[in-house]
Amino acid sequence: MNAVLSSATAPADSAPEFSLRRRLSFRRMPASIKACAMLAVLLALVTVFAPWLTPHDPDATQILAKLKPPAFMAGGESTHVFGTDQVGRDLLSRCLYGVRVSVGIALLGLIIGCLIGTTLGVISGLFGGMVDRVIMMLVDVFISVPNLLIVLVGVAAFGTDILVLVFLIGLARWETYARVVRGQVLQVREMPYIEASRALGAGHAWIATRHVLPNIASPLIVLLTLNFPSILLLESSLSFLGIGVQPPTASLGSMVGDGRDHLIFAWWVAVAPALMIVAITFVVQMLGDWLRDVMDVRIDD
Amino acid sequence: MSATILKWARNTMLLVCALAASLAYAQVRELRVGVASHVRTLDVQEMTSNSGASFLYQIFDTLIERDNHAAPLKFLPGLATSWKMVTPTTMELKLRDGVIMHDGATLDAEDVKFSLERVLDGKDPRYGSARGRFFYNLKSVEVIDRLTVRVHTHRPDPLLETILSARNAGIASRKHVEKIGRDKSGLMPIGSGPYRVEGFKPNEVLALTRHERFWGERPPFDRITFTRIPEVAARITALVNREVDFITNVPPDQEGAVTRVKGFKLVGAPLPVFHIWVLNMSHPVTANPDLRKALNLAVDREALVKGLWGGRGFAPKAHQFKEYGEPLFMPDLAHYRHDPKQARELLKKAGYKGEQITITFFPEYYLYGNHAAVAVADMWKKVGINVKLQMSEPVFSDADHTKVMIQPWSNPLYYPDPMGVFDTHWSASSWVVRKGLWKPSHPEWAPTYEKARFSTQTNERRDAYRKLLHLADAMSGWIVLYQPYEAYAMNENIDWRIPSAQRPYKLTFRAGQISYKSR
Amino acid sequence: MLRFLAWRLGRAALTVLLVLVACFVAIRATGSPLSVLYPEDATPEQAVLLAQQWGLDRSLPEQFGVYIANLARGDFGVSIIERRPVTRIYAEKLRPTLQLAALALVIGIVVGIPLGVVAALRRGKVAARAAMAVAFTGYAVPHFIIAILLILLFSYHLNWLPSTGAATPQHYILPAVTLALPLIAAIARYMRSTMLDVMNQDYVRTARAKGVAEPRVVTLHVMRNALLPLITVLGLEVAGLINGSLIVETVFSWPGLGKVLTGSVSRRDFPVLQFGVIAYAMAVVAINFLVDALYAVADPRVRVES
Repeated sequence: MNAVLSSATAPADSAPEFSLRRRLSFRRMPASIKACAMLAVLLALVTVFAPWLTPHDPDATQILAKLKPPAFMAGGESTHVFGTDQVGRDLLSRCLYGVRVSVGIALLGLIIGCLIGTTLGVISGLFGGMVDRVIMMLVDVFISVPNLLIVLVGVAAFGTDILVLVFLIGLARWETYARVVRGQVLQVREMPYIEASRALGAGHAWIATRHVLPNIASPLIVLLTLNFPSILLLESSLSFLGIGVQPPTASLGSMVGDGRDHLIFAWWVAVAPALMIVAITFVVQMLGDWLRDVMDVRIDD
Repeated sequence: MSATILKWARNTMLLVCALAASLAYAQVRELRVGVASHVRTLDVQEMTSNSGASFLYQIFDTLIERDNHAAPLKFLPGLATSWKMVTPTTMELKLRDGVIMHDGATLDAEDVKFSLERVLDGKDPRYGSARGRFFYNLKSVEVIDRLTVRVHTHRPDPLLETILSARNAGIASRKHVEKIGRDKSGLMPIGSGPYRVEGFKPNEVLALTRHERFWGERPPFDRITFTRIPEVAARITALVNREVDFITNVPPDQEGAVTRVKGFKLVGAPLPVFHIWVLNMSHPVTANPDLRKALNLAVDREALVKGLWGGRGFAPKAHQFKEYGEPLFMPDLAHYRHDPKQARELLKKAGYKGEQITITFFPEYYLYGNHAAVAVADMWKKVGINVKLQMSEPVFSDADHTKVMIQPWSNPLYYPDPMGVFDTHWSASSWVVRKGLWKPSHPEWAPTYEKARFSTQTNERRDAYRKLLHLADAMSGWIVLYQPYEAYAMNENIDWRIPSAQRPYKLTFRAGQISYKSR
Repeated sequence: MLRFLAWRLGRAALTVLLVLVACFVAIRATGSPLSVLYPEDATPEQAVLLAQQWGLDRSLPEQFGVYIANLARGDFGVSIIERRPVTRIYAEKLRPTLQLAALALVIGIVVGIPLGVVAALRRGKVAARAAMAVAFTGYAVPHFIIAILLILLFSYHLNWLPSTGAATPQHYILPAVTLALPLIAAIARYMRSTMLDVMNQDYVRTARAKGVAEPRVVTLHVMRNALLPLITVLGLEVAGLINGSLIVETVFSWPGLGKVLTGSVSRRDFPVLQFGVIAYAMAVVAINFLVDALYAVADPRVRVES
């Protein structure tokens, strides 16, 4: 995960704004990215409009009609396009809701992590000295404990409420932002115009909002896009292990986890949500990578 | 090109596997068992769990053994060759001479006294479980001579033979435990059974080897391994892939994964176990008896059995098992029924105003427990109940029960007698009573219970039991969901039967209980 | 130089201590091990006896003091659940986990680096696209999905490879491949972007301009400079392997550390979890420290900055 970040930490080049905007335009995207972008829009629509798209109540059980195969297989029914799960719930409906829940949690976790990390990173970079050391120490502590373990202990202590989960997931990756932002701030701080505005009496807050944030915007956007898949995977891994989203609520990970017992005989129960996870992470990663390539001028020269 | 490489890789791999398999075959007659759950200790008086019973049965002997398939119970000589009551509260047992234990020492009366009495003083928390469930009526064990012991009880006990043949009455080596301590001897125990412990990694794998100087018939295997494979799909895969020969706990809807492959078979039956939800009588919401009754009536047991268990489980009509044998089993009892209409009326009568009812459930702990929770939640919603599902670690007596409304539990039949399921779960000393989940307030409850447990007249015990069940049903303090169906899958060359006279889930691998035709 | 290393060492020790305190407090907030030990029958007397036996009736600072004092004597405690020294448990479980991680790492490097190099050198060509497609897919598929699909295919249907435990060398193949796939992807992607970076550096252009043969440019200038930062990345990825191993060990019934750690949380086995967290934190800190030290040796600017 951290592998792909380093080139994004290079300072945003002073490439003219309009050319960046032009490179980000839909018409100039490579075909594969176009496809990804369209898929991403589709997923976003599904996430928002899931309640109006689902043919069935995702939690309604029909235990006498359990493990029905998808419509295209022998024994499948057109009312359950993806088939039904181990207690006869409609898989398509659960997948759509699952996307909503998983993406929703991942997005919230992403935002929380980004807010914490950016704030601490800016503070650390601007103030330096003791403050910087303490914050970097915190970063070290968080890197030293496996993410999954943090969430595991957190869930054991605070329960499996969805808000707890969101917060713990956010906590799990805040240090990546803190590190990147701090590095950016350190570089921006040395720029002549910052020194100039400091000389003119500008305070930390002024410098942070007026000069630092605009400069770290593009690496942050790239970082967010690149972090999103791993956050989503963390959520699904947790739910897969049974410590994430609680039933009957569908999350993609817990659906795979529940379906894995039936893998041999009713593979669709696990495979349908698994494909959803892979599709989402794949699409977002492609976009993230492309964004990084586009925004990082040195590579594209 | 790549096809050639693939073929080559496959052939090499097959060759290696075949070689390994033939080597293993030539060396030992081994039974490899994949179990769903394992144990953390092999202390015979401590481990009261289901898998514990299976493991301990191969390692330890009891004074009295049972005919595995007889109903009602038939007792056989074990470490004791004969026994008789010398007073109403004293049983004298003659021990078998020349029983060599796994360490080569000879078993004597001191080992018996030591093993049973360490449970009775109540000083060591680890033996609280066995004591509360089986041995609370034992008073002491007296050594008469090297091969004679007397077991004293507090009061006359019609079930004494049954209790002394429970696996937790197994006899361990006194000298061994005293030498290395209780903690270590739980990891490396010494008993007198047909197999001895070769290696034990708690909660992971137990390897047993044949005890060459076993007093009884020579056991069928040189070696048995019990490996923990918690996931169903993984267990089935391991069997089909010939990594193990025998697996436990195959759910009905997964049987196809075994039967579609040649060379394997299934052995299964509905077990004498109830999966139960205890309705907490101390919780403000579930304290209302009409509400509890409504919850009970809204559960469609037939649908659960059909849907979850593929029709293989059993939907009981009362809290009793046919394994008791008549007259204690009463076929005419019919307490449980599905009546959503009456459930709605009772809800109205109870003044139910949409308070949230939380179903706690333990994923994986009880097979299909999570599915049952989801399905019943749906049934309750249909009669207008506001339901929430809450997953939890399996917690029982230690949990803070003030917030729990519905506690999942199981009621296995520890010995084929009404008290084997009733006294072991609903007695006044049970944690559900201590924690106030079950509060039998009816004035006749206690005296009737007394009769059902200790009366020496079988008919009197039956009538008292009948009354108990009526009283319990009126209070509706728990919901019996169903009797689960337990299936074992194995290599088709294995011949094994579920031992109905033993406690549920027990695996019996001694001489005459299993055969594995040469491969 | 020595002062720099000492400062880093002090910081590392403090990190481990902080991690330990956090874990010590957090895990005790989560409940007691009693319910796991005596699930259905614990009496209040048992609870009291057990609390005394394990010192859980004392105040938190007191417990911590005792724990640290024991640590100083090299006593890491005894598992509450299994009742044997935690060091023995870890000694038993460490090897399978390390072997698996090492194998995955080797596979990751051996496959990932060439994949990344091809993707960079043949940028825009079909081979590069294919390589990157593989890398992206590997990164997008979570461990648990790879694992269950591999088991389904190679164990259940083909009967080629075993799926549970670590008894024979064949047992290592499926879990190692599962762990390695995302690693391959990460390394390939990293190699590609660094290679592209380096290829645009002035010294590479100079070399080309000087007429140095292309293979020589690639191996001597580009590869060498791209591989150095890979060390840092590998350090982080090794640390990340533990996340994956928690999942992989669950699915493959692997007798390793991952299961010990997850189990110790759900069973509230305090001494086991504490030791695990300390050991893990120390390993990560040691890796970071080594990386820092290597950089300090290789790049004098780092020393000056500190």
